[in-house]
Amino acid sequence: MTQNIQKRFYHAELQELRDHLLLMATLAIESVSNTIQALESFDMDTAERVIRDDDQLDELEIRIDAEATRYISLRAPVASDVRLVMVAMKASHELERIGDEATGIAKRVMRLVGESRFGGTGRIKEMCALVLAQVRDAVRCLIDQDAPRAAGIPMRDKQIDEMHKEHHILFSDRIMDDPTKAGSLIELIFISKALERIGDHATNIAEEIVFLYQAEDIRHTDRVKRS
Amino acid sequence: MIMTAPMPEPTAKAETRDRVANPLPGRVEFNATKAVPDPSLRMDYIRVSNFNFFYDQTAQVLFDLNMDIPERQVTAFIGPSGCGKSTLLRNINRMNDLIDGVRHEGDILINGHSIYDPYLEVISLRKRIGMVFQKSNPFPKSIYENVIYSLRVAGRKKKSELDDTVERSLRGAALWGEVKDRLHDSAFSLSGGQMQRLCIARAIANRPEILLMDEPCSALDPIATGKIEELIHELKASYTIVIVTHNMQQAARVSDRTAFFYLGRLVEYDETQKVFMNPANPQTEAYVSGRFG
Repeated sequence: MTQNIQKRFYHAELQELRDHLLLMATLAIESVSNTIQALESFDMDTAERVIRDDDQLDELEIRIDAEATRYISLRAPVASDVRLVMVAMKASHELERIGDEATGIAKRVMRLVGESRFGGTGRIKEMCALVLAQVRDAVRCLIDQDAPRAAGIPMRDKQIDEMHKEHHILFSDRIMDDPTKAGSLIELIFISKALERIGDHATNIAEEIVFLYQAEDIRHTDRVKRS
Repeated sequence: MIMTAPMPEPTAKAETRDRVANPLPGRVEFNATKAVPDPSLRMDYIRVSNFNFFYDQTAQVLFDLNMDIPERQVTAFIGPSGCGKSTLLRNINRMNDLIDGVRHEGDILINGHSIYDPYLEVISLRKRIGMVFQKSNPFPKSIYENVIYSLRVAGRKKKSELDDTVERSLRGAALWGEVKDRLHDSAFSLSGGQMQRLCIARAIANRPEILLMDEPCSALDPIATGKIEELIHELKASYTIVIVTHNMQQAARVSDRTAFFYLGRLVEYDETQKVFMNPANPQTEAYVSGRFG
């Protein structure tokens, strides 16, 4: 049977859907990477580029939804084909949200430029590295069709959540110590929160990848319990 | 604040930007996924105009049909049994003339010319229109003789012409590779799917302009159905195809335009994408979603 795989003209449409999802994932990685770069160096140009490039993610989300709806309506997909269509719709939504969070960070970086009154940034640098690794690994698993590795990604999100809790306490304490720094410190709390949310979206994508390649729904199971 | 989070490789970034600026080379843009007809092709290649059809003086089966069927696209007729879709199909090559007592009102035009023109020979009309039926109907002859049957009837004898026709037609019907070494075996030695493709080869041997297909896959298994559907997709580059099907997924897969008939009337006729994603008429929606009853 496997010797006689019949190529159908409409399977190219499924490949196109997958290509668009991978393109969107690549752009989301770039968006996170750029916003971290902007945060590291307070680089206005890079921050502006993150904000500007977000339109591409929005457009791809709409395109993927339309292509998926059309494929379901006209091609009646089953088995791994229908999982790919559903995962494309859900993962593209997560990627679009990643882009929004990255854009939010970029806007806050632009507001922080010139501010030097907020002292240290806690473990933001470390958190950035972890979040970027989560997003990259999730996308890598999508490209490599590696469900076992994807299944390990959600557990790693706990560390990012803990860092955010630490930041929340750290920056809140500093505000109480010196209310004149409140504006900048609140921005840092929101940046930490946005990084934590990006980690959540990467986790959700990883869970979808397990569903795509192993037909197993691991959401809200002990395998992915993070707290 | 200086941080050193890992950055993506610059080459990968540049490549990504190129892909975004010029998204996915060679691909159709999303809005182009619906059929964009070649402007040089006639959109009213087959024109059904105020067409009524009666099996006898009183039994009217088609009511005031008006539709334009475009050139070199696949148009699917769908609808429940008895809705008139096969009757209309069989009027396009005037096959219904063979039934006693039938009459029609209105007209059907092909490329601007009435098929009921009294000066038109029905035989010459039918030469321009190939037909494939639900049940494959090869003649009790060899594969070779089946394909060139119409040329034999026309008195063509030149062997090179006959050989060329057999190869061209069997290739066109995606059957050549499977039968080229046994062209003189009986057509009945073929499988059901192969027999149906042989009938398609026979239908295109005459180089018709139009292919009418009346449920061409309903007697076939999914693999043979898949082969015929692929063939339909390829043949539309050369032929105007009208297909009657009870299989709505097939209509959705293979056709560019879909017409939904009910009780002899044309309820909705539009691009297939529109009919299956957002039909204008609630009856169409009920039928394509399986709620009809």
